[in-house]
Amino acid sequence: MTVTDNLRPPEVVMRLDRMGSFHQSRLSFMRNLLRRMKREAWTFDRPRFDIGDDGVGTALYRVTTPDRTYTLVAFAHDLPPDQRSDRVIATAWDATFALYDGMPSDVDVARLRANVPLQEAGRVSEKELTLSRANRSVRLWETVVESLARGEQPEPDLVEDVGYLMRTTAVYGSGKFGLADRQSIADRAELLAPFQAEMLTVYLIRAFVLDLVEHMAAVRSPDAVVLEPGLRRRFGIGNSTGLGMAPFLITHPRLINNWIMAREEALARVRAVPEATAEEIAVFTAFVDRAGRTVDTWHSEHPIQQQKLAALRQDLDILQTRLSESPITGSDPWDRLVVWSEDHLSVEGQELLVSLLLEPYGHLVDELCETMQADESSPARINGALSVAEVRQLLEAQYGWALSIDWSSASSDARAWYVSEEKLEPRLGERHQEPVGAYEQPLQPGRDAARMYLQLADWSDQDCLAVFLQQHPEHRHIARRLTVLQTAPYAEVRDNTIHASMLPIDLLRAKLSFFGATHFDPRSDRWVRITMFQGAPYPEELASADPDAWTYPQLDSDL
Amino acid sequence: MIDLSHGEFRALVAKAFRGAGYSWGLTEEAAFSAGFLAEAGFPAAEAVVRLLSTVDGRPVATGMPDRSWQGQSGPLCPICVGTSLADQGGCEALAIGPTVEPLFIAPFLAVVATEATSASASSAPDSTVGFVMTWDGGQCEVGVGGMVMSGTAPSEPVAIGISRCQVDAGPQSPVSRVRLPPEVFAELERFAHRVYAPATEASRAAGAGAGTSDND
Repeated sequence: MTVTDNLRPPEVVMRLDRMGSFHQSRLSFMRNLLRRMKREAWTFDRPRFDIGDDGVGTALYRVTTPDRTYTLVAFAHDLPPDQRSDRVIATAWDATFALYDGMPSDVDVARLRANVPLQEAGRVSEKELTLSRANRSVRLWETVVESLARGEQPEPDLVEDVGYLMRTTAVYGSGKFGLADRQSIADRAELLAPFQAEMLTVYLIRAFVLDLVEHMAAVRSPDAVVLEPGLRRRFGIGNSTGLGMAPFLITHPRLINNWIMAREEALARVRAVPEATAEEIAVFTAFVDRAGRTVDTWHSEHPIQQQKLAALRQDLDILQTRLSESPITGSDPWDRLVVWSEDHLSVEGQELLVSLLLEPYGHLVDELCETMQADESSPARINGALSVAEVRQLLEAQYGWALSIDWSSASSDARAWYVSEEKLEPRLGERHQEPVGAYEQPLQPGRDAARMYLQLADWSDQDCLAVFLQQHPEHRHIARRLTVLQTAPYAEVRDNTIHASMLPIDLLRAKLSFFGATHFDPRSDRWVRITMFQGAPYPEELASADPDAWTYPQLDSDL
Repeated sequence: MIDLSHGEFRALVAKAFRGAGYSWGLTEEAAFSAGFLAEAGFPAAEAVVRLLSTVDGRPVATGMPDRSWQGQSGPLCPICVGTSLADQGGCEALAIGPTVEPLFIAPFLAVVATEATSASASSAPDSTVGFVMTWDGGQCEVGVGGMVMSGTAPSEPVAIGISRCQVDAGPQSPVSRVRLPPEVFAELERFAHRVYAPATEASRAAGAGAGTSDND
C-alpha cells in the first residue's frame, strides 16, 4: 500500500520549530535494534569483568547474532573531578569504549587499551566499529553506590530526576579515527538501518554501567544489594550533545530525507486506516496516558524547554479530554484526529501525537525502518543540462522561503558555523562580532540559494547550468542540493540556519528523536542532555520482554 | 606509513582543497575523485599534494577549461575538467589542453560511464559504456567496473584525449584503507589547517555551549 500522495508537505514538516518538537517513535533506531535482537534471539555474555576495587579496569560484553559476534570493550578509569568535561576538548573520561567486530584477542585488547582511553588522540582499526566515552552523573553515582552498599534501593524520584548513571559525550562511527568505514559494513542486514552499531554500543554500555555501579557498592560493603529489576530499568544512558551534531542534518540531505520520508509515510499509512479495532484503540489510549506520565517526569531547567513542556502538558490535557468526550470511532478516525490536532494542539503536541499514532500499527510501519538508510559517500550528480530558466524556477519552488529573506539585515546572517583550531571543535559564532566569517562552513543553504539566484539574474534563460557553474563554481554546492531536492523533497531544512535567534537544539532534537532519545533537556540553545534506552529491558531480560513496550512509563507502576 | 579510513581520507582531502581556495562544491567533488582513486589502489594522497602544490595561490578560475577545453593562463585543473565533463554527461571525443594530475578526471568519467551503462541496460544489456583517456606515455580505461592504467602516470601537466568506447575494465576489489607516508599526511593537514578558525578564549567560552567542567 502506498499512500505517498497524502504525505505532509516539506514546507510544513521541514521547519526548525517542528523538527525541534519531534519525539521518538517505533521507527527510532534503538527500537528497531531491540526488535531485531528479540526477533533473532541474539545472545549476550560477559567474557571478562576485571574491575578493581578502585573502579579501574577492563570488561568485555559480547553479543552473538545468527551470523556474527560483536564485543564491547570497556575501560573504566579513575577520573579526577576537575577533569570531567563533556566538551570535545576534554582529554580524559570516566569510561571509554570500542565496539569490536568479533571477539577480540588479548593482543587486540592490549592495543585498544593503549588507544581507546585517548579517544581522538589515539588510533583504532577497521576491526572496530565505534569509539565512545562516558562520564558519570556525579550526584546520582555516589547516591546509588551508597544506598546499595547500605542494603537499600536508591530513591526512585532521584533516579527519575537524573535518569542515568553515566552519559556518553560522543559515539563515533563511520570511519572516524580509523574505525571501519560504513561502506564496509553496510551490507550486513543487522547494520543496514542507520546507526545500528552506535545503538548497540550504547545498549551494551548501559549493561556495563549498571554492573559497574553494583560492583562499586559490593566493594564498599559485603552487605551490598543489587538494584531491583524494575528500578534498574529506570536507568538509561545519558547523552550530552552539542554543536558537533548540529551540522549533520544539513550535511546529509539524502539521509535526512529518507528518515523524514519514512516517518511521514508511516503517518500517512495510519491515517489511511479506514476503521480502528477495539484493540488498536486500547493500545493508542494506553500510550496517550503513559505519555502523560512521561511528561510529568520530564524536567528541564532551561526556559525554552520549560515553555515547551508547559505547552505539551496542556496539549495532553486537551487530547485526553477530547478522547474521553469523543471516543475513537467511525471511519478514518486517525485522519480526523490528526486534522483536529492541527487546530487544537501546539507543535509539540502535534508531533507527540504523530509518534503515538504509530504505536498500535507496527505491522504497517516497522518495515519502513529498512528504507531509512542512504549512501552519502559520493556527491549527487548535477544535471548540467538544465537551463538557467529551469534553475530559477527550481530555486523559487524549493528555496522561495530563502529568497524572500532580507539578507542585508544584520540579524539574517548574524551567525557563522565554523571549526575551531582547538581540537577541531565545531562552534557557532557571531559573524558581526568575531572574525569567524572567513572560516564559515557550508551550513547556510538558504543564504547560498539566495546568492545563486541573484547571480543568475545576469544570465539569460537559455544559458545552461554547466556553463554557469564553470564561471561560478562558488554556487556548485547549492546546485547540487537543488538536484538532490528533485528526488528527495525532505532533504532541506526550510529555515535560516544562521539567523540571530536560530536554535541549534532544534537540529539536535530532530536527529536525537530518530535515535530514540527521550527526556530532552537543553542546557543552552546549543547543548542538550538526553536519555537513551531508559526503561528498556536488559540483555538478560530480552527473551521475556516486549521490545516495544518500554519507551513510556507503565501505568501500573509507581515509576 | 599512516592508515586512514576512506571517510577520514575524503574528509581530509576536502579540507585540503578548501584550504587551497576551492569552493565547497568543488571540494566535495575533489574528495570524491581522490577517494575513488585511493579505493582503486592509486597513490591518491601524493597526487593531491602535487596538485595542490601546483595550483596553490592561483585563482581556481584559471584552472577551469574554456569552451575549447584549453586553459587560458596555465595548465588546467583536473577537478575543474572532471566536473565540467560530468556536468555535460561526458563526451564522444575530446582533446583537452595540458592538465595537472589528469588521473583525477577518471573518477568523473567512471560515474558518467556507470550512468550511461545503466541507462542503456534494457536496450543493450551487454554494452559497457566507458571512456579511454590518453596522454603522451600512457592511457587509462574507465568503465563501470573501475579503471585500469597502462604506461606511466604523467609527472608534468600534459594534454589528454578522451573518447567514449566499449570498455571492460572488470570488477576490482577496493582497498579498505588509504595508506600514505607521514610527510604526505602532514602536507595535507597543512592545507587543511587553513580551514580552522584560530582558537580564542572568547570563542572557547561562547562558541560551543557547555562550560569547561561537567560535574552534575
